Amino acid sequence: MNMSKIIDVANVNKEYEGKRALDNLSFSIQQGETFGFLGPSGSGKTTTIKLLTAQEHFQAGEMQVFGKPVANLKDPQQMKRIGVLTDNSGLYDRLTVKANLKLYCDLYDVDYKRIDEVLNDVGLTGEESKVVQKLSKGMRQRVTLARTILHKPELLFLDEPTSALDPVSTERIHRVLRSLNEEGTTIFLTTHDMHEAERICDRVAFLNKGSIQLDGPPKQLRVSHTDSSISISLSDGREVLVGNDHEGAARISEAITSNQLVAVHSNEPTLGEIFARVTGKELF
Amino acid sequence: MISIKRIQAVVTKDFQDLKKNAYMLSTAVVPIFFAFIFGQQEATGDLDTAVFFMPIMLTMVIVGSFVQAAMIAEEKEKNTLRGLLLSPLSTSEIFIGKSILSAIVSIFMIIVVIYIGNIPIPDQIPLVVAAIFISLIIFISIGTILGLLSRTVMETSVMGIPVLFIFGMGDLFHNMIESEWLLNILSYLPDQQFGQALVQLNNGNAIGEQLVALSIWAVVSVLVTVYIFKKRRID
Repeated sequence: MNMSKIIDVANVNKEYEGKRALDNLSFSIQQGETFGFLGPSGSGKTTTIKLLTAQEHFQAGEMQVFGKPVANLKDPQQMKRIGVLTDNSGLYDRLTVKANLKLYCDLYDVDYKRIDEVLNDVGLTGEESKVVQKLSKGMRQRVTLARTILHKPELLFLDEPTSALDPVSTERIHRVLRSLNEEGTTIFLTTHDMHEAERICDRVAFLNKGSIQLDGPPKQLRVSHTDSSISISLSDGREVLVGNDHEGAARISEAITSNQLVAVHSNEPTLGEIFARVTGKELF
Repeated sequence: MISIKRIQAVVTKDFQDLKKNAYMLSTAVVPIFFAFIFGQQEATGDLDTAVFFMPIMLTMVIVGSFVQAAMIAEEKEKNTLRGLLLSPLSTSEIFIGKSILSAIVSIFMIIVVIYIGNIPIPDQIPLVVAAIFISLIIFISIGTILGLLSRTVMETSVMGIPVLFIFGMGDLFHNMIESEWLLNILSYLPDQQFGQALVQLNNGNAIGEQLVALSIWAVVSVLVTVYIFKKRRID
């Protein structure tokens, strides 16, 4: 896979009425990556997506998508290369699922046959004649995802795609995203759901007060922030914390020989815990 | 480059949506009632000639402006406009696509209103069509501006009331105004220019002056619409 930079952000500042939303923001995303942008509400996640999709201007810095300034996205041919999904991406309520998707087939010059494929991908086969206003929130979000991937975008922006969805719909959406990524789609995902980030992201960045505090692959971040202790579960129900040293090994060995050991766990922190350590804030 | 296919897609979607939109359908037929009332008054000869054309102006305001405003505001309210803005549609394509259906429905309703209201249409049909066409550009642009400035569909009704009184019913209030300078200013408004154009045609006079005035209004209203549209797109 050609790992070229698909998004490049350098020293971007964005202010709303004198209040700084993004502060010297810099990061880049390689082609084929699933990149998670983690941060609490108001940290600048949505603002970043709006800037990267040319919906808003920024005051300073540089932003490039596909190696060109973001302003180039106003060109219809460039726009066809991206897909954008937000948690409130609108669908036409009075129209059917199929009519909604047909509109976007025409806008993106996509054959109507693709509708069946995307509906199958999001698990909505057979629902095409349903009127959108009769669908559940989870189904609506899946229709919106189907609409977003209709034209097979090279780069997908997802702004809290599973926010307030039930676990079944969330799992379905994650499955689609993993499959898209396997096919080569680069994914830029904002979320405050650390489990979502751990499950589907190759790399995550912690955004706080408009700038990135830490970034890296989830596994690597967890390992680098582990406190090197190990917890063991004993048959009497106790959880005992032991050190990752000779003394700890002896304690585990003793538990094994006395037939008390039930389980051994490493104490890697979750992404949420790392975020709290780095920023002093909770993700929610 | 403007894509006819993309514009057609927007018009088709708007048409499918309009068929199921009770609010907009009921708004679109309101001018028929006005036409019926005006038709009765015309028969008694109570109104002067300029007022004969008021039902046409009302149709352009109610259908051209109000329906257009509601369509735009609903796209904003339900966040569907963002989807269109993030698609390959250009600003011009969205603006044209969103205006075509209002124009078609307006023209249809104008024909119905002329028929029901027994409105004395001049024989110079191409000039009448030109005056209606240019006026529709003005009122659809005003509707687009109302829609862009309103947060909800309901808000368009409130914001549209001054438009309805000034442009749609201006003739009714002119008799109450005594100030010459104010009447002089009001005579340049598009509704007055349109009414005067049809009166002049009925009297066998040329309407070049009125068409120029209407065209200036059309150009200015389109420019203001595009400016607000682009500003709102970014904001």
